[in-house]
Amino acid sequence: MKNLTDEELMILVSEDNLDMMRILFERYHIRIFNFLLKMTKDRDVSQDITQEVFYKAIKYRKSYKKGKFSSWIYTIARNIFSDHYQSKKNKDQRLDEVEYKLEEEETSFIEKSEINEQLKNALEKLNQSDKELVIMNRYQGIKYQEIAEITGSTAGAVKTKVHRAIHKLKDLYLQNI
Amino acid sequence: MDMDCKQIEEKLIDYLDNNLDPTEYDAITAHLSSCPNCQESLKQLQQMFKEIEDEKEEVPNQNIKTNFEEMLLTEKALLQDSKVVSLHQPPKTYWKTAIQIAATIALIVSAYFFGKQQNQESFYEEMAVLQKEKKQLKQEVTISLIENESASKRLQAVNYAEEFEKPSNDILEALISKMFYDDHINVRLAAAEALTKFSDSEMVRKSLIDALEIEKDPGMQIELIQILVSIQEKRAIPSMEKLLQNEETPSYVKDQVTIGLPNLI
Repeated sequence: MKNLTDEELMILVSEDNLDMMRILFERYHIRIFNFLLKMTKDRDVSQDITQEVFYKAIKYRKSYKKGKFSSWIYTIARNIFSDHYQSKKNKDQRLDEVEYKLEEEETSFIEKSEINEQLKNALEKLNQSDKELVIMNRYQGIKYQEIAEITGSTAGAVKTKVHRAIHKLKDLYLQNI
Repeated sequence: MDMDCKQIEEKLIDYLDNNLDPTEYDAITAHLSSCPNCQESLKQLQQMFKEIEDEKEEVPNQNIKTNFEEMLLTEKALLQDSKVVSLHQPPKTYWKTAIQIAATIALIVSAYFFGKQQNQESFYEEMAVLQKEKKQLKQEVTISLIENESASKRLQAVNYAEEFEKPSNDILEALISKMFYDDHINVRLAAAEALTKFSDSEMVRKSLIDALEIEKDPGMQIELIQILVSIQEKRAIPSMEKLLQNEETPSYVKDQVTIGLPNLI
């Protein structure tokens, strides 16, 4: 079973062979976790959302339509993340909490590497959509075409946006160095 | 920076990613060798990309796996619960359960004689356990019978099912599936009739409503209309009105709706 493709495994899952999800979980949960961690900067939230991603993937297994599995699972992750982000916006208290955590994390990173810290700061200064594109393309190595599938866009448009975001990031990064 | 440099700068990401065709690639290499500004830009990008690349992947807390396994277990259990009885069960299951039931009866009988010799109390305890097992097996036999090839056997099973005081969901689901899909109108009718008895269950009520929605046979339609009126299921009103409006509905079915509808509204 381990040498089946993601898509073959997910088809089995959609046919109620739920155990196959274990292999997909092994293949993807760390990537999804890292994507969310970059987006939220919060380990607990990222861990919770990652768990929810696989829960939803099982719940909605019948809606999987033989497309690329990785695009599908990222789409789920983005949806849950944006739901979370929306609800967070409405709760000031939680926002404070997040900011507090952010500060905490920053100090610990400065000790590790100051340059790395500059890059992280620059990434935080990008708007949500640019930040997400940079994370998906540069940190996660997802190709333009697949990002287009995940975000409901075209490869050409994604490429243009990613390049613009990378240049913005570079400028922000260099300002502080 | 002149126009040319600006265009070059826009291609630098593709240049580093090796996303260019050879002529473009060579042109940029040539430009870079003579333009310190663009060289600097390239270096900056390279440095940033390297830093991104060097970033270590974070590992989530170990309990993410435990939680996943727990969730998987729950979902598998839920799936098992909701599993609809297979429509093509091999007939040998029927014999297997029949033998099981015979064995249970033999056990009950022997328990009876055994209990006579022993004290009465333990006898009743054992009897109760065996009665429970017997009931469970009876349900299983009913379910296997309900999938029998012979329509009369299926009819018999449907009648058995009606006798249960509190049938399991498996029995109800088997009855519902008979009401929807059995080839024989008599089996469908009997299943619908049996289900009327269990109309306390929301699953059953919904299935009766759905059945009226899809049923094509006029005899069955009349039965369903009568049942739905008798259990006062107002959610069936739209389907009934649809039957009235449909030109293909036979007049005697429409008559049944006309008689029944006022009792629901």
